[in-house]
Amino acid sequence: MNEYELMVLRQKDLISNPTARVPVCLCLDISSSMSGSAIDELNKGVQMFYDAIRNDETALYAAEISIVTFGGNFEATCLQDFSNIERQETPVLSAEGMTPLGEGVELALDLLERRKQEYRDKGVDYYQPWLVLMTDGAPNGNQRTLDYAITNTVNLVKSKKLTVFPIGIGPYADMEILGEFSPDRSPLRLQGLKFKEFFAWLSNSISRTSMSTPGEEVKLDIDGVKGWGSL
Amino acid sequence: MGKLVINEWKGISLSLKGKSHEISGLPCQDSSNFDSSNNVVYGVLSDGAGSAKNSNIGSALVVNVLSEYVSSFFEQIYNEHSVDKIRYEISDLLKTELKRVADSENNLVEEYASTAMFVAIKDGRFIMMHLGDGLISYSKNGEIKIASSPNNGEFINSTVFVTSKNIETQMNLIKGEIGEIDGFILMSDGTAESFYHRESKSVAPVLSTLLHRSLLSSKQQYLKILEQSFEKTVLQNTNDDCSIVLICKETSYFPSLENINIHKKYKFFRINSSFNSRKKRLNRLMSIWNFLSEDRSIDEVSKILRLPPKYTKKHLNHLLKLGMISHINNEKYSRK
Repeated sequence: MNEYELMVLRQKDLISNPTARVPVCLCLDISSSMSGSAIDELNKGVQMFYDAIRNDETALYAAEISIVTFGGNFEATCLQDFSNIERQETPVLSAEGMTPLGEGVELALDLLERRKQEYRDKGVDYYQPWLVLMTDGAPNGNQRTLDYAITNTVNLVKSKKLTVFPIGIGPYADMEILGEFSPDRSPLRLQGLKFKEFFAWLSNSISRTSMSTPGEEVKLDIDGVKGWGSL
Repeated sequence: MGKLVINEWKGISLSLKGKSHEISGLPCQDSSNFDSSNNVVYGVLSDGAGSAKNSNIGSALVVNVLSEYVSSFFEQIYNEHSVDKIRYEISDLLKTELKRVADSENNLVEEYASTAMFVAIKDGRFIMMHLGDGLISYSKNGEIKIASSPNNGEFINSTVFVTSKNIETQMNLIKGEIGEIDGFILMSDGTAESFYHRESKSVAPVLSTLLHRSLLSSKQQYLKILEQSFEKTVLQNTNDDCSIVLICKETSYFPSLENINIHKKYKFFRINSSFNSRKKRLNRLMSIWNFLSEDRSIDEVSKILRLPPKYTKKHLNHLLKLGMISHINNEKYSRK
């Protein structure tokens, strides 16, 4: 018997819901201290991150990336707004100016909140958003904005509405301030300028998260990095 | 898989392993049941949590406990004025039983996390309960509607489980007269992904066809067809396990085979032959189907049709493909 004839359903009879999204905001320090090899390696890492997501069938349709940079004249900029990665160009970062970390995080949180509202309005399911925070120094923007950003981030993390990955770059990154953003796990200091390794891990984690089902805890595959646990 | 009940209401249940569990080698963590007892017809479904290592046991336990509960206490539940009392009763019942099993195995109760939903029908009345994600739909005059929507948290991979705190506050309980209701459908979230449109909060009309086919088909063969259909469609749209319970009764919207008009019969039997021969073909198929009110061998069918077994087999195969009959142990053909 032709088994194909034993069918009571066809794909065209079914509902096609949009893929559940994993919104990820990269909040990146592009202050002048990042000039030279640091910004070059960061650019290579971001490029590799985009390539890895594009080459992963699951992550490609689930991941939505935005990039916020902070630097210049105490500026926080949305370099890349949320959209499917297929429609995005890989950005090129250049380093210049100050380190307004608080301003960058505030903008990132605003973008994540706005995106979640858009998902809700369109009936798109989503996973807990991720904020990747990278800096190589100490913040020197508005202190009140920084305090506000820390409080907001901590509140979101504690209420399980945000996963934050604070990453220090090089020996002068203010790990204490980065730690204040992350009540659940210690910040990670990047070994040397191993951006590629970090972004490879990040894309892999997004892929695994986007395949998880209700109640499933996604263990992060970060053996050897103490203080990091599960999402 | 549940069994077909000779009753005004008929139904089936199906639970299938999803892609992620096929890859990881883990068992299907969903459980479902359709049955009747004490004049209560009921369907129960439970979806085991992905992260809970014994959730397949948890979901089976939830289905067993709720099956026993609704079939034994339908009247008490239906006649209880305090909905909160029933919520607490179900919560206590599930948690007590899960704790007993967890303690006996020296496990944490959380390892048995799963969702829960049921529909129970008796004497023109129904009760339904929903806790967690998944969807309960019903059919009224042949039109599919939503009874209880998924209760996910803000994020897709979060929901309420029977092991969660204060589940009585999250439990959706509905009761009422059957009236013009002619079907119920319970779906796990993996199944709902293909039948429930989240943005418009509407359901796929094909559910109506699935209900009607469950009424007309051989239970054994329909389960086979449904399983194969799910494998090629629904299971391809999710990584999750998929379960469904279909419960339906005969009405003018879901007529019995005898009461379907001739044009719909041609369509139903997929008879595409020429005008002159299609009536003959339909009569032949109907004769076989009627004759199979009792299980028969191919020789017996051939004899009554006065056709060589070779041609009889073609007709029987056609009915098998449609799910109208089953072939028991490659011997007798049956409508069961």
